[in-house]
Amino acid sequence: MNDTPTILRLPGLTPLERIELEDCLDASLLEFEDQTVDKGNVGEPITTTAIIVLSTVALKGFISWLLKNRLSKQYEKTVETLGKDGTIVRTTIKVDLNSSTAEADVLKQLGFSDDPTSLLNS
Amino acid sequence: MTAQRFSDLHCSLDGRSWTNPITNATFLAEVKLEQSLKSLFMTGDTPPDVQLAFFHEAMHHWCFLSPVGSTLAFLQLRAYRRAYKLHRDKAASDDEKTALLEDLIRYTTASSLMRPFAEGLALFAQFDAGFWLSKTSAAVSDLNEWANFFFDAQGIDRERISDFPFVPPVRLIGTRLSQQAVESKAGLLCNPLTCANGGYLPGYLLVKSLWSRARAQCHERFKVSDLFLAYLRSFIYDDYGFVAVLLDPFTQEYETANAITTYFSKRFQQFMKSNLEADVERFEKAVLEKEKYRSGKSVGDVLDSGLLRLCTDAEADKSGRERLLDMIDEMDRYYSDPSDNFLHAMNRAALFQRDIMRVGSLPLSVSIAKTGDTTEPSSFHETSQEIVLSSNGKVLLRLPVPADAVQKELLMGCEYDTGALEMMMPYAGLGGRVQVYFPAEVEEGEGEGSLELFFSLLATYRVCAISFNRKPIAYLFLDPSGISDRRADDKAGRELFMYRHAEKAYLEETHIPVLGQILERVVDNGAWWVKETLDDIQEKVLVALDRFYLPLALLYVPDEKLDQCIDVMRKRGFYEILGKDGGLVRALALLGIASSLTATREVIARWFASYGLDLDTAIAALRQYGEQLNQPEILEQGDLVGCFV
Repeated sequence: MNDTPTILRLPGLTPLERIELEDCLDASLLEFEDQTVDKGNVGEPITTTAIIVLSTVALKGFISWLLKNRLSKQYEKTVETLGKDGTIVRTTIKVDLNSSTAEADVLKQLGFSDDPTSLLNS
Repeated sequence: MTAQRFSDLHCSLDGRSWTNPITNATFLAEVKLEQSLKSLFMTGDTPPDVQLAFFHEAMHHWCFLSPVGSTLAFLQLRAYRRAYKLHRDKAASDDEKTALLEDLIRYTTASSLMRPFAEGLALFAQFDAGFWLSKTSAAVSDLNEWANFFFDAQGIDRERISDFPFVPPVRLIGTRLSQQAVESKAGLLCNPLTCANGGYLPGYLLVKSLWSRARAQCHERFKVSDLFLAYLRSFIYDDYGFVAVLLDPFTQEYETANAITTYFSKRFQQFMKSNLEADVERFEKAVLEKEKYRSGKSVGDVLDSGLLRLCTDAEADKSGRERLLDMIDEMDRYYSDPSDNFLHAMNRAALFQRDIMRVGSLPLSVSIAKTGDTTEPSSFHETSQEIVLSSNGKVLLRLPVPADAVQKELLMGCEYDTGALEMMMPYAGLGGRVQVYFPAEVEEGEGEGSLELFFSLLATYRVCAISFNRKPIAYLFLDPSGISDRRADDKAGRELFMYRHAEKAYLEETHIPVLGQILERVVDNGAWWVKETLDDIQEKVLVALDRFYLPLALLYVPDEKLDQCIDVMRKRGFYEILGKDGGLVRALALLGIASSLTATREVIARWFASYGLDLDTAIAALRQYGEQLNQPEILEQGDLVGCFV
């Protein structure tokens, strides 16, 4: 499938979210870019963009990060995915931690619509 | 890893909001004008993330619009002008290079030194400041006045604000207790405890420590975090004694840097030792006087009253005021060299538009056509043209242009229907009221344009400026109270805004950036001793920052534990102290925010419960980790709970 995401991008991570993501994913699967402001300007605290090359392991790590330790049982996270054909899609993922199918729901929203559960079980 | 980078993409999600200390230009990454048009014109409801960003950047903006902030801007603008002259005249004397170095030392030393404090104030404004804890003070800070003017209480969790039924502004309480605010503060608490990269955590903890100290001295008055914020800002940024040091003609190079560093550090000692009870009373009076000014008094009456002189020696205060006036005078002089005159004029323009805050900007398509081409003529008023603003093919705003509208003020109504804002002529008691001004004849055509939202900190109005091919074609003033009064000074204020807006884009996008590049080139390629001295002083200041800020940030950590506490928090702040438990960091963030709203345990427990958290369990866990290093400090007394983080 050409539209299967290959790279996932998570902008606007706070330092705490970054630390927790590092705990869930091996460092070799992750890259971070600090969101900077021009030299001389003052601004909001530093946030980071995480870039994840998607593989089964990376996806599992990302999902476990998304489903852990949140203040609210229902929340949204905006991500960007790059498909094999270069298509960039911005998606606001809706997470419902009360749902028994939360993992599969997230995968579907990311574009892994064929058989998300088998992907996670592989 | 071989991931393709996305850095070539324009992505608004990546943006961080910022303020420029020289032009006072702002960018609020969270403002999405396309989605906010209805709220801006009609209802005033704004999402929590926009409100939080507004508080942060508006606080910076307010600080930079002060005697100290203006002095620093002036010093840097003068350095730009001096660098330009050196760039043009390669055979310039060492005296001219020395003068440039002196301005740069003053600006960079003070701005580096003040940066963590500036961020601390902005974060305190974002997460803590409000005027709900006490009814002892009638004074409301400018910041909260602007926020009241800008936002309404829509779109927030009503359950959480039900504990504050009678105390305005309830919307801010809902925002503070929102998930965005708690997550954002939890992120702040995991910042490194160093002054590098902005010094957000040390700056924030410093301001919280000072608040706690001030409350211990005059509890009732400084219960009002809003009054404390305004007082602390004024104590540092309105201090003409500091202006006198920044503009002292009798110091140079290292002596100057030392004088600035010493003065700034002593100022905090003065704050800790001063009689806050008496001073805050004088300060309150000054703030209330300023409010009177809004109904007719002149700014000069207030500034000259001396009420705002807080712990500053009278002689130093006088000297600072004189030096500031000399500085303004220097810009007003006539210079025989035309390019000198031009630079002075542009720098002056940059300095005198610093009250205008840009809240949002939206690039869009503009279409201007004869009325008959697109819509039915109005039955109330003869319209000749219509301006249509659209984005990605979707119409966002329609504005009729009456036949005789140029350079006249027109009162118009507005309606929001089917996803577009419709301006109506004439005003007929509709939902919104807008004062519209067309600066010149509007030429028909289609092309690129923009809609920008501005806010003036001095005149308290909101303005939407519509531009077509980079030229302003219409101004929409959104200020119902001002419009109904129709006072002459309101009209003059609107005219002044339009005059300054016409130059603003050039100043921010061309004038200052080009001069900035020239300055960098002159410093890098000019006399070696200029760069070397500047770098050396900068390095020394950066080393001094941690020594100054960290003990004040950890004011309640005993001396014998201070070094250990700093070591533990150096890389990941409270995450390390709290056993690498992100959930507990979030609980601490919520407790800190909640403690700034109320001390009542029962209320805070309800807020915790709304997030599925148990207050007692959280406090027990925080106490357990806090025992070793006295951080975080949590106070419990009967039915009351407090937290210094």
